[in-house]
Amino acid sequence: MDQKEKHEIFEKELFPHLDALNTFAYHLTYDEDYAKDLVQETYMKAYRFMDKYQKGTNAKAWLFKILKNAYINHYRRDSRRPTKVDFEDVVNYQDSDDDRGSSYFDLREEIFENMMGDEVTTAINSLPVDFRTVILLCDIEGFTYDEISKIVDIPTGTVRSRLFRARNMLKEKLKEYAESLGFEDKRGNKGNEKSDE
Amino acid sequence: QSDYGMYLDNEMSTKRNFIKNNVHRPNVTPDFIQSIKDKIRVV
Repeated sequence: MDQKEKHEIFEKELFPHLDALNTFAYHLTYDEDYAKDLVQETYMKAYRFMDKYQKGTNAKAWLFKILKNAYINHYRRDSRRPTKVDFEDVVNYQDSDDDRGSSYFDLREEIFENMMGDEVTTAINSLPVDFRTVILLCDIEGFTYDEISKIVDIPTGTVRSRLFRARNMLKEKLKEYAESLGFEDKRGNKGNEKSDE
Repeated sequence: QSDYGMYLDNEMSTKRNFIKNNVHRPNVTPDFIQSIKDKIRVV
């Protein structure tokens, strides 16, 4: 692959995903400057390893995997971020391919009307990183379970169960914020999944 | 409850909106775009 072809692929297939990568990086790091460093590093690596990329294949998933790996390798255990907690042990313990044991967390639609974007971002960023990641990849970026499985290196069944738990955790967070804003759930059976029937 | 316990994730063969519409998406500035392109040129 010559330089001209590399530049062409870069411009047409890789660069259009800049916004999505930047959003993902921001929610991994909580920090716009760190996010930019991460995105820049991702594009540098992608360009360097362009020979491994097959033109016309899933460029977005490839870039997200590079970014996720860069985050793990260079940021997650970075000494500049000593307060970060490693949730891997917790997640490994909780993950399984079967989510039938978990109950669905009910969130009233009226809550949405009391919320602003800041609360959503805060709620997402308060989730453990492994749960946050699947929400971002699926609900924000629209990746399939199979694509997420390859990006995060976990089985498809684990993607599904992790998503189920992550969404429930997010609903609980949003409910807490709604209540702190004065919204009151008057059903008298909060969190009861049968309440809607 | 078991009856109560894929479609929205498009994982089925032939309603999330609130989260998608409200998540913070940091602005990508022209300077940032240019800085990436400049770095690529010197690789």
